[in-house]
Amino acid sequence: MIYLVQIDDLVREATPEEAAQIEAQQAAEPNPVP
Amino acid sequence: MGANAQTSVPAFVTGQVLTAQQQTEINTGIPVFATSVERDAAFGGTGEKVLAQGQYAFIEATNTTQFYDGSTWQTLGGGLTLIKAQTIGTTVSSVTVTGAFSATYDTYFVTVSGGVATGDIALNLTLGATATGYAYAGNNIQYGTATTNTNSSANTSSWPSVVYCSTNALSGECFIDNPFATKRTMIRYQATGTSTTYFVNSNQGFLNDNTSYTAFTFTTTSGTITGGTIRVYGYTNG
Repeated sequence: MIYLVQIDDLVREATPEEAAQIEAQQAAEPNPVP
Repeated sequence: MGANAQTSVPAFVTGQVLTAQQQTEINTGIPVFATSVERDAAFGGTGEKVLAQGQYAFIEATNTTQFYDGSTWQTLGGGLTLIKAQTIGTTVSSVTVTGAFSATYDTYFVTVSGGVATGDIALNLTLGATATGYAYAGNNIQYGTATTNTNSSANTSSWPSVVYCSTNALSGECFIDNPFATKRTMIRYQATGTSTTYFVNSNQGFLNDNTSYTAFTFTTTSGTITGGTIRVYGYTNG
């Protein structure tokens, strides 16, 4: 999975560390809406 | 009629000798001062205007325009200042807004509107690089079925579902207290689903640390978002 992250106006591909953070948060915070 | 009130806006001819009164009348531009200290020192001295009702001033330190009401200085602008408007890029999984919080304001209003998502998803909010200590409580209600879910945590990795997203739009807003101060940060937020099978929510919470933050990040719960605008407003401390 390729993740794109945005910092202010700059959009770029997530670094491995950023991708891991995104996946960790998505796993830890599944959408509470059924 | 006060000392700053005029009865005409004068025009002059070449070579005309201006009186002191005429010079005073045309000195109607808004004077700029570094701080309120310089402002207060600029009136009433020898060769200076007497401070009176209707006097304007611009203060560089706070980027505010003020007027004197006869007894105190009042700030124009309704108390809400747009700090930043961030356009969301294409198919992004997270958006970080830097330079959002500062010592100028205690309380902020953040809105997310426009744009689209890959489906019915939510955006979670984090401050700086902090991924722990977020407490929140609230509920969401589904359109049509009125199904209600109560959600809360005393310590989780983000404030969840600050924005709801769909293929139609992104929608959410939050009030944030004290993000820059070295004390607890509080939040109150609502998200509005924009598909008929989705939800609306209302939550409150706080971040259980005393860290000073200048930036925040929205991260998708899955999928991506495209377009739309994140706006950050500051409430004038007064």
